[in-house]
Order: sequence, then structure tokens, then C-alpha cells
Amino acid sequence: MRILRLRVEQLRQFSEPFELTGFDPGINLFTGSNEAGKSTLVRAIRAAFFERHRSTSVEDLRPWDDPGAAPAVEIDFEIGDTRYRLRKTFLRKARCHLEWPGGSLDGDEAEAMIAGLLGFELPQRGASRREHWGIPGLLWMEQGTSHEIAPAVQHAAEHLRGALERCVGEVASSQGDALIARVRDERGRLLTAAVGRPTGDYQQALEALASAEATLRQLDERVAQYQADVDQLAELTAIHAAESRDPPWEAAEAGRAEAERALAALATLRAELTGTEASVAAARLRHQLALGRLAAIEERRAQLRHREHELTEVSRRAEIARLACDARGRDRAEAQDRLHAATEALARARSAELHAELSGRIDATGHTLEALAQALGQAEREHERVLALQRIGNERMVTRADLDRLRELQASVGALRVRQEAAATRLRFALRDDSGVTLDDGRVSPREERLLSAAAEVHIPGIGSLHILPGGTDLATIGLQLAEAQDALETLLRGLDAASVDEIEARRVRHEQAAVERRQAERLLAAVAPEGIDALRLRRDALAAQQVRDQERLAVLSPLAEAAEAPDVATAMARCEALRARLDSHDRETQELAARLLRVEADLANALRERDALRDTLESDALLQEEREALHMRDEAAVLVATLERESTHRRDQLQEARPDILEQDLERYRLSIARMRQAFDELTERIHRLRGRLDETGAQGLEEERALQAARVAAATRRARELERRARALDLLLQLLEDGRRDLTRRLHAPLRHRLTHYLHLLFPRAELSLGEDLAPGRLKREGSRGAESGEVEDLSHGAREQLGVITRLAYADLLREAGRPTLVILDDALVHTDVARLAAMKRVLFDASRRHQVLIFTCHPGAWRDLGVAPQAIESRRGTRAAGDS
Amino acid sequence: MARFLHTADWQIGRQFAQFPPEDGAALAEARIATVAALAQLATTHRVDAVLVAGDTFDVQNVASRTLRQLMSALAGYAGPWVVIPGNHDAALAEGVWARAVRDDLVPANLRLVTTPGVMDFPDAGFSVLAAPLTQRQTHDDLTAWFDGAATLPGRLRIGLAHGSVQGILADEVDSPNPIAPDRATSARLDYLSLGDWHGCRRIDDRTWYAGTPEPDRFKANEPGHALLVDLPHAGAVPTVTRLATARFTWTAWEARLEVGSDVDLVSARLAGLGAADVVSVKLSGRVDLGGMARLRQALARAEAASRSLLHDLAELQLLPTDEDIAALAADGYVGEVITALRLRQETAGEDAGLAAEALGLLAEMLADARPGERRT
Repeated sequence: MRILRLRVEQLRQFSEPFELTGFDPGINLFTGSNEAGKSTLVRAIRAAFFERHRSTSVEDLRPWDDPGAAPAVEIDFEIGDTRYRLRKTFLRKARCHLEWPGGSLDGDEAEAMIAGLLGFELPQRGASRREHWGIPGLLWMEQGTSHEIAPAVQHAAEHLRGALERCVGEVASSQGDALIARVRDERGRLLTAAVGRPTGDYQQALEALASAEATLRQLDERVAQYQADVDQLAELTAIHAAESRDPPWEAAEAGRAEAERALAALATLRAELTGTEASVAAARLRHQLALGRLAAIEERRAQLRHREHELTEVSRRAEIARLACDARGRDRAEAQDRLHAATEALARARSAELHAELSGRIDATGHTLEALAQALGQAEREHERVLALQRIGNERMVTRADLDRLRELQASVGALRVRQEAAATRLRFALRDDSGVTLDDGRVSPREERLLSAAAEVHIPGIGSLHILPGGTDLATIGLQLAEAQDALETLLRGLDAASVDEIEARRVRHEQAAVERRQAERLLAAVAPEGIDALRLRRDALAAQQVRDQERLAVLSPLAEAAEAPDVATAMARCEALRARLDSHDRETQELAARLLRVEADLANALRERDALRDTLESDALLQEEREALHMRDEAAVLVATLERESTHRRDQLQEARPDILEQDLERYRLSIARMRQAFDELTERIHRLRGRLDETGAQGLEEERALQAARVAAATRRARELERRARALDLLLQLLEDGRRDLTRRLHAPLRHRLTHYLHLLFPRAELSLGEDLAPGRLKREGSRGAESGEVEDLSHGAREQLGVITRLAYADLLREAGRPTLVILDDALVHTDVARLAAMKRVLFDASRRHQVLIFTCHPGAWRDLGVAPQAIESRRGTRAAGDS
Repeated sequence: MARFLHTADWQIGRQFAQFPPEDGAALAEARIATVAALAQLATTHRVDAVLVAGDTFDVQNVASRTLRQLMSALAGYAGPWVVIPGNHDAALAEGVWARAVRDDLVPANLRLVTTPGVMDFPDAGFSVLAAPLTQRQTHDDLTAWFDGAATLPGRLRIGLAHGSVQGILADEVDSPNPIAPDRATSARLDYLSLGDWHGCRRIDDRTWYAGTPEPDRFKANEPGHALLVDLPHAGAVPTVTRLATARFTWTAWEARLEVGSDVDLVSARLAGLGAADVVSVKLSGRVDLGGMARLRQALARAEAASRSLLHDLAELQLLPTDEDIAALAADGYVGEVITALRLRQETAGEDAGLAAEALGLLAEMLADARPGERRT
């Protein structure tokens, strides 16, 4: 396909008609700065082909300042040898017209034809979108999308496949993919996708089969059990019948009866033996009784002999005792005499000794008494003195203070008296002796002088009275003071029991003297009679009394002491004691001997009596008779014992030979056997009963019929499982074959595309390989990198590299499509902007090469970069607004 | 003059595993219905007795319900039914008969013989020498004692046994219980009624297998009969009449399909099947897609029409013709797959079957897809 002419009008910034002509069949380079209108032209081409003329979604085509505009595009192009002119007006005057030498179409029909020619779809409504674009969508690279390959490839896939098939001359199965999907789906219902394990219905069928088989196995087991039970029942019933007919314990019972009989016989024998043994015992007892009696008689005889012997002995002992007793009596009398003499001697010795002692004591006591008498006399005197001195001491005691007071008072009285006398009225009397004159009622001596210190009355009988009043002024005072002092003095003296102070003085001297003397006397007394005079006196009296007694006793003793020679008291006493001891000994012995004699004599009497009694018995007739009888009994019993013992031995041997223990064991054995056999029989009966019960129960369940039914179920389940298995395997096989076929085909189909791809790729990356996916999109890139071979997903490459690969891939698709006879037109709108200079150089080679086969429209704002593309760039800007007429 | 009905091998309680469960149940029930029909025949023909020569039951352990159903079915004939146990229902210590007796299910008109012996029927003028099986299997001839068995003078001697006549039957009998081939002669029997062989079969003039009255397997040995035996007098050759009793006809056939018209033949035969048919069809050979479709249709129709239809197509190859493939529009690699499967079918063994199955599936799917979109 080649574009020959492009004309736009009222379209975006091209409000005026703008036309491009003189398109090269190969590369066409359009340059212009930003917003110069390059992209608008690309958009115009796209709109012309893709957008439906009646679409309202193309507002972007309208010039900004012209709401009433009718954007129009007119394109002349050539496919093969046919030239077409497509004219589309949008919005206000929506119109589409296609004409070619053979004819023309309008509206939808024209659009459908265009779509068919170029290989894209028209949208049912709205704006044309990427998925509608088909081949042009792949080959017309919009600004900034050249690196996105996969979506574009996807939308053109069917066209590409068709092209591939046409190239290879082969057809991909028309139903292939749908069929594979269907088979996979069907298979997926029965087998898991991953490992082909049964699933869904198939799995259920297998499980149902397994379950049915398990049930069948159970039923089989139960049937087998049932049949085994039936067999066992038959067997047991047969045994039961046989045993009922002919009980096995009967033989044992016969054996038991026999054993019982034998044991009964043995019991009789044993009873007899017991009888015999009792008889033997009785006979033996009798024998022993006889022997006992004889022994008793013999015993008594021995006793008699013994008694007589004893009697002799006792008699002899009595004689000896008597003799001893007499001898001892004589010895005693002698001892008594000797003691008597010794006692007298002792008395004498004692008297002599006492005499001497008393004499000595009397002399001593005499001296003592004399001394005591002297001491006593002295003591009494001293005592008297002490008493006398004590009396003095008993007078009223005067203290030194009293004395000083007395002296002071006396002095005061004296002084006052002097003063009184001096002041007093002196009254001197010279009277007759019988005058009877009184002074103050007091008689007055005829010669007398009185000092009056107070008013006084002198009465003269017959004459009257004279009142004398002392005249001194202080006389009264002195009188008073004197009276007071005298009073005090007298009071004091009275208190001291004295008449005057002198007396008091004398008394005091006396006192002190007496005290001294008394202490002397007391000391003397204490020396003479330390325990007091009375003690002294008592001692003297006691001694005097003793003296008197001693003298009396001495008077008694004197004749005795003088009588004979007095032996030593101690010796006499010792002798006396010795003799008395001997006498005592004699006494005791004598008494003992006497007692012994008495006992012996009693024994003798006893022995005599017993001997006589015994002798009487032994010699009696009865005893002799008894002895005879006992002898007879003894002999008789001995014979009987011998006979019976023989008999007993015989029976015991018989018993021993019959082995009663074994017979008992036999009996036990038979008894146990019978019990066991009967029990076994009962158990058998019970077992049969139980077995019957079980079989009855099982039988009612129709087990075998059920088993047969279950077998049918298993068969059905097996059939189902087999069917599903067959289906699953068939599907598996089918899927495998189909996928293999498809893979194989894909490989074949991809070959030409891979060839074209490699052609371009090697211009960019020598020796590199680019794999193709199932969807024909580029997959992995393998190339020689700076560090040796490397490979990776195209998607993972840099933006620039992806851009380059995107262009390359598209060119390869274009080659393929061209080979398949499809129209191809390559448009690059500002593509490869991320490509560096070196790569761009390579890409230029690529593009130049592609332009040998395809028309290539390149729009760029970097004219410098594309200078060496071998074509003259056409500047869009310079033409803007101008009505270009063709070439540059 | 005596007349009796000789039958055997009712095999009540038998289940049919090879059929779908519902068909199996119907076939099992049919056996009891057939016994009721036998009772009816006995009454119609006014027989003196019905002799049942063993295997009344298929298993020892039938459900009580089945047991009762069978006993009810006997009511249509006044009796006596003279029955011996066979190997399937041997008179064991415990089993179907013991249970029937114990549960008092045996009707009065049924004379069950569980111990060998002579049973006299004075009114009918014959004695039955019965040899029941008391074990599942025996290797002794249980009829040996017939030779020396005494019967009243003038009585017809009729043997009743269950087992395999030695040297005559093929080894397909299901029991080793042997019976001497000349027993009728040696025991001076007027007639020997045998059971065990499921087909109706004459051994000699006086020795017969009645066969099962209702077929239970696909074996063309003439099952489905009872024998009406007339004995005019002692020593006379009995007149034996076959009476058809089967409710269902069991047929097994095989066909090899080579050309298109073979399918039509088979289809025609299938179309002839009715409600009394139990059929097993085994097809081999090859068939194209169209033929297969017609065949399947015919099979489906026959399945509905017949009592039961089993079909085995494992050895039938599906060979799509070029036209078939063109019709399926199997282009590209799908076509290649079809070719591969066709080739694979030619090989022997399981793989061939698998390939046929896969091919069938593929054809089916393609046929389904045909109305769908096509691309030029």
C-alpha cells in the first residue's frame, strides 16, 4: 500500500486546506517542531481509515475556534495496482466516499471495504479503539507506543496468522483452538489438569466403586462367616447327636461305680481292722493292768523291807541321841559351877576398885570445896559493895546544864536579895518575950530583924497593928524579880529532888565516885564468880552433897575392900564372860540334843507302827488271792494280744495292697471326667443354640441375596468407572494429539516470521535470537552482550531497546503481511526518541532496508537525527497554512 | 397312569450383576412370577405332582421377603410339590430350607425331602426315590441307593435327583455331584427327574433334565421349559412334553460390521426386539461416522423396547470416511489428529479401542461445533 496524496481541511490547526503530495514509495521523512502538525497529520490518516464518518467521538478533529467546522481528510492511495481515493468528512457534514477506477462506494459500505482491504475492524459505535485497529494498529506506530508490542500483536493476531498460513501454504485448524479448549474442558471434568489425577465424576465413580467393593468384601466376609457357621453347626450338631445317642461319660460312670464298690469293700475291711486293733488295745490294756497289779504287790513288799530297815536305823539313832544328851548334861553342870566362882571374883575386884576411886574423889572434892568457900565469901562482899554503890547511883542524876542553870539562878537570887536588902525597910524587933507581937500573923522572935520589901502588918496585941509600907520605888519590882528567881530556883531544885544547889553539887561528886567504885567491884565479882554467885553457891552445895554420898559409900565398901586380894577387874570380867558363853553353848547343845532325841523317838514310834501295819496287810489272804488272780490275767492277756495282732497285721496288709488312695484318685478322676464331659456337652448344646440363633438372625437378612445385589452394584459401578476411565483416557489422548499437532503447526508457521525477524534483528544485534510466543509476540532475546551471551524477556529490557525491538518486530510482521499479499504501510510518529546515536544508525539501516518493500512514513521533530536516511525531509511547518501544490 | 410336571433350577434369589440394577431386579422378580405360572400349568394339566429337582433357591441366604414371595407363588397349585434341595440350596444344618421350616413358611402342599428316601404316593400310584443334597458338593453318586431301593409292587418308580450325569454333559455344570448315566436302568426307574443343568435336555427315554423354567444366562441350551411327563403304566416309555415357561428370552448375538449395509441389518434386527427380550449384542468390525450414529440410534431404541440390552462395541472401529472428515471440516492439525487416530485404530490391543473412543469423541465435538463460525 502506498499513500500518494494527503489532504486535510478544517482539521485541528489545519483550518485551511493542507495537502501533501509526492509521497515516495519508500521512506518519507516529515519534520517539524512541536505542534507543527505532524501528529495531526498522523491522526488525520488514522481518522480517515478507522473512524466512522458518522462518529460523534471525533470532536478532537475540530479546529479550536471553529465549532461549525466539518473536518475533512482525503487520501489517495494505491494497493497493488489499484488507486483509491478515500474522502471522509466528519461531524457537520459526515460523509465517506471511496472511489477507484472500477467503481465507488459511499458511507458504511465504503468504510467496510476499506476495513477489509487494510485488515481492521470498524467499531459498532463510538470512537475506534485499539482493539479494532488490526494490521494498521500494529504497523502505524503512535507517538510513544512503539515499544508496546504485545497488545498490538494481539489485536492483529488473526490477520498475522492468516498471513502466516498463506505464506506457509498451510492452514491452522479452523476449529483447533476451540476444539482444544473443549477437549481440555471435557478432560478437566474427569482428570486434574496438572497430574491427570481422577477428579469430578470420574473420581466419584472410582470412589463409589471402591466403596461398593468394600461393601461387597464385607458381605463376602459375612457370607463366608455364615457358611463357616453353617458348617460348624452341622459338625457340632452331628457331635451333639452322637453324644446324645451314646453319652461319652457312661464309660466313666461305670468306672466310677467300680471304684466306689472297691472303696466300699475297703471301708468294710478298714472297719474290721479298726475293730481288731481296738481288741488288741483292750487285751494289751488288760495285760498291763495285770502287770500293774503284780507290780503294786511287789512294791508293797519292798516297802515293808524298807520300813524294817528304816526301823533299825531309827532305833540306832535314838540310842545315840540319848547318850549324847546325858553327856552334855554333865558338862553343863560343871560349867555352871565355874561361872559362879568367876562371878564372885569379879564382884570383889569391882568393890576394891570403887573404893580406891571414891577415896581419891573425896580428897579432891574437899580441896575444891575450900576454894569455893573462899571465892564465895569474896564474891558476897563484892556484891554487897556493888549493891551499895548502886543505891548511890539510884539518886536523882544532875546534868551539867542543870547545874549551870542552878548556879545562874542562885547567883541571880543572891544579887536580887542584895538589892532588896539594900532597898528594904528594915524592921528590927526588940520585944519582950511574951509580947505576942505578930507580923503578918507570924510570930516574931523578940530579937529579930526583918527586912520588909512589901507592906506588912505588925500586930501588937492589945495595942493594935502597925502597917508598914516599904518606901523604895523599885522594891516591889525587885521583890517580884526575886520571888520569880526564887521560884525558878526552887522549882528546879524540887525537880532535882534537892534542897539546895550545894546539895546538888555534892550529889554530883558522889555519883561520879560511886560509879568508879562500882565498876571496880563488879570486875572483881566477875573474876571470882563468873557465872554469878548463885551458880557458885549451887556448885558448892552439889559438891558438898556428893562429898557426903561418897563418904557414905566408902564407909560401906571399906570392909569389903579390905577383905581379900582383889583381882584385876578386866581379867575377872573376861573370864566370867568366857565361862558364861560356854555355859550358854552347853545350854543350847543340850536343848538341841533333847529335841533331837524327842524327834528320833517319835520317828521310831512311827516306823514301828507303819512296819506293823504293812506287815499285817502283806500277810493277809486277800492279797495273796489278788496276786494269784493278777498272774492269771497277765498270762491270758499276753496270749490274746499275740493272736489279735497277727489278725490285724493281715488285714492291714490287705488294705495296703488294695491302694485306697489310688482308688480315691480313680473316683475323683472319673467324677471330674464325667463333670467335664457333661459340661462339654452342655456347652456344645449352648454353642449350637447360639450358633443357630446367629444363623437365624443372619439368615433372615438375606445375606447372600444382598451379596449378589451388591455384586450387581459393583458391576454397575465398575462399568461406570470403566466408561469414565475410557472417556478420560480418550480425552487425554485426544488432548495430547491436538496439542502436539498445534505445537507442531505453530512451529512451522512461525518459521517465515522468525526468518524476517532475524533479518532485521541481526542489523541491530548481530547473532542475536528473538523467540516468538504462541501469540506471535516477541518473547526472549538472546544476544552477545558485553559479558558474553545473555538472554532475557523483551519486557524486561530498557525503554530504548524495547522501542527498537518494537520497530523491528513490526517490520518483520510487515514483511510477512506483504508476502501474504496484505497491504502494508509503516508509520513512525516520533518513534525511536529514546534511541542513542549508535542504535539509531543501526535502526536507520533497518528502516532503509524495510523501505525497499514498504512505504514508510516517518514523522519527527529531530530532523538532524534522520539526515542520513537518504531522503529529503519535508518540513510540515513551512507548509502550514499554505496551499502546497506538491513537491517540496 | 401317572402325570406329573418335572421342573428344576428355579434359582430364586438370583441377581444379575451384568445388567443395570433396575433390569436386574425385574429379572429376579420374573423368576417368582414364572413359578406362579408353573403352578398354573400344573393345575391346568391336572398333574399328580410337581417334582422340583433341586436348586429352588440360588443362595442359602435369601431375604425373608423373597422366601415368602416364592411360597406364595406355590399357592396356584394344590400340590403336592415334591422338592429336593440342590447344590445351591443344599439341606445344610442351617440354610434356606432349615429357616423356611423353622419359620413355618413351608406350605402344607410342599413335600420337602431333606433325607434320602422313598416317598410313596398311593393315590397317584407312584413312589418317588428322592436324593436330596445335604452338602454343597459331593463326589459320591447320591442316586446309587436307588438300585436297591424297594417300592411297593405296582408302584411306578420315579427318581428325583440333582447333579451331573457323568460323561454326557460338558464340563459346564456347576456341580461335581455325579449321577451315573444308566441310573434309570440300573434302578429300574420309570422316570428319573434331574436338575442342575439349566437347559432342557433328554439323556435317555427315561432320564431328563427339565432345565430352568426361566433363563438366567445367555446360553442357547433351550432353557425356559418344564416337562409334562405321562407314565401310562410301569415299564412304559414315558411321554415327555416340553412346556414353555419362560417370560424372557435371553439372546446373545455377535455381528461383524464391514460395509454400510451391515449397520442396517443390525439395526433391523435390533428393531425386532420386544419387551420379552434380554439381549447381549457384541459388535466388531468397522463403521463410519454415519453408520455409528445410526447404530447408536438403533441401540438406544432397542434398549428402550427390550427388557434389557447389553451391548459391547469395544471391538468396533470408528472409521470416518473422507467425506465424514470433510463434513466435519476438520482442517489443519485437527485433520492430522483424525488421521493419526484412524491409523492407531488399526493397531491391535487396548490402544485401538482407546483410539476409537477418542475418534468418536472428536467426531462428536466437531459435529457439535459445525454450526459455529467458519473462516475462509
